[in-house]
Amino acid sequence: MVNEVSACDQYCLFRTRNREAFAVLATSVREVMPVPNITPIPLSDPLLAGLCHVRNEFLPVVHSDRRNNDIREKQMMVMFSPTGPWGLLVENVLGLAQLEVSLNSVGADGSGLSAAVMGTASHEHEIIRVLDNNTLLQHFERQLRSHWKRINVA
Amino acid sequence: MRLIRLSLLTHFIAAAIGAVGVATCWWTNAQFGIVGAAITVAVILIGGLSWLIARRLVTAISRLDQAVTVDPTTQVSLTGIDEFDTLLNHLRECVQRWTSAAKRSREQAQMLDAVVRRMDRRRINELAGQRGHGAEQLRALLAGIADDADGAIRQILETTAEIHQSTKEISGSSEIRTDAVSKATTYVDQLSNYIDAILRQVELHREQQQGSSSESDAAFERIESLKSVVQRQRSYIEASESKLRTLGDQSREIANIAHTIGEISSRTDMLALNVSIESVRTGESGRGFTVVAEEVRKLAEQAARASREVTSLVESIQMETSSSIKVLSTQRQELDEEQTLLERTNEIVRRMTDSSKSVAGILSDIGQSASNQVRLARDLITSVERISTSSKQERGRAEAVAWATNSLSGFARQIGQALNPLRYEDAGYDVRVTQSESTHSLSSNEHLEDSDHDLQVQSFEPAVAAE
Repeated sequence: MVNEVSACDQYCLFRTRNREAFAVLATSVREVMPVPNITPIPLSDPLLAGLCHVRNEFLPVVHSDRRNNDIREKQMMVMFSPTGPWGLLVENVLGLAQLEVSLNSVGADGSGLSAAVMGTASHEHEIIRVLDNNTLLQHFERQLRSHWKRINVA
Repeated sequence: MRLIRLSLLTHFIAAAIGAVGVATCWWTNAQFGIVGAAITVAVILIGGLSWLIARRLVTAISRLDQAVTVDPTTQVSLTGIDEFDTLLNHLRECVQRWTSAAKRSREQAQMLDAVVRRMDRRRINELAGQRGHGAEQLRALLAGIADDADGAIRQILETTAEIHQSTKEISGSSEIRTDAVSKATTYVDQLSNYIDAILRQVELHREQQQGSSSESDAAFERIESLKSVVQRQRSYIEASESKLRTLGDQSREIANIAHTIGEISSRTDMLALNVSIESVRTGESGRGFTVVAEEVRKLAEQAARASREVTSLVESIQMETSSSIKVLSTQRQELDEEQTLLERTNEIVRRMTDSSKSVAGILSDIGQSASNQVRLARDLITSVERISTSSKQERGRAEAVAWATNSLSGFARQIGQALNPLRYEDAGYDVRVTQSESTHSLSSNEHLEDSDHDLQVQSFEPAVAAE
């Protein structure tokens, strides 16, 4: 499921640990906060950093970069989803910006955040890849399920 | 007798002065009492002075007599000086020999007197009528007298030869002693010069030691001032180090505060971002919040930038502070080493000062000893000169004795020649006393060896009968 986006919506720009810049719709972000205490979940895919407790809610937290499983990110973006909020660990949030997004077909065959890229934009002489929030969540869910299936937990 | 005459003469002079005084008073009608008292005092003084001189002369004569009449076999120390005592003993031996010679001469004179009296008795007997064999008896008697006289003359000549030999020995030893005294005087003079040179060197070294001692004191004072300067510098460095450490602590606190400010600005930035996100989600009604959040975010960024700059400055200050603390610590260590070196130098200078003081004391002692040696050397020169004078006097006396023995030998020769007619001419003995140089005469300034009075007693050679 792809959110309907206009060409000049506000986007929240962030950077991962490998210095790649991404953007998501600002309306899909609930808040930005420092990385709280995260409790790892056993027998889960390394993509899942664990669970955290924020404002009386337990949120699942995932890494933005699969290659770095240890938690070294400085900030966490709390994202909205139909199943509830979830956390995405990023290096830092650059801010909000209006982007002119050239939409692409969603590359479901990618890995990591690239699997949820719905378009690209240019901001301050830098190419920003725009992500779809729901596609990203579905991608993470698939990754987790396949992992649990692989280890016969589910 | 001369002393008595001298005493009488002085008394007579005193009486004459008294008489002249009385006569003068009488003729000038002066006050008789005052003039008489003055005359009396003058007479008493003159009499006492003459009595004192006579007493001293008698004492001196008795001492000389005592020195001469001491037994020559006993070595007596009269003056305390070996050379004088030796000379005096030689003189006493000569006097003793002369005394024994005079005694023998008196005995021989008595024997001659007895022979003459016996001849007189025989002449009386001959005149009394014993005329039968008188001529033969007289000749025999005269021959016997001549024999006795020869014996006496031989003894006189032997004694004279002994005296002459002794005087030669005395003269020779006196000359040797004179030479030795001259050499000893020269040596002592050289020794005195050497000691004077040593004394001058000692004085020079003592002055140098005093100069070095004052320099050591100055060096000691400079070292003390350097020590105080080093101590002051060390206290300054410690104070600077303490202040720098305090500055480092304060800068660290500033860095912490700047870090806190940075965190606050980061949180503010994040808060502004969340406000922006919230205003975007709100839609058109939240657009004003977006502007405010953007301004807050800019302020937060400025605060973060300022905080980073402060942190950078504080870090550079901390680096400079730690570097300065290291430099000060190094300087403090060097000052500690300098202070240790100064302590050692101070100790060395103190030892040098002590040793120079002890050397100055030793030099002072050496100078005192050298002065004493110079004084003793001068006294020794004086004693040696006295010995030389005494040797010369002894030599003069020996020459006088030689003259006397020469005269005595001539007298004995004359006696022998006078007795020659009394001997048997056919079977008697001829006593001939010869003098190799009978015409030689000694002058007072000639050496005894040069006179060469070979007084020889030729043995009684059998007279060759002429017939």
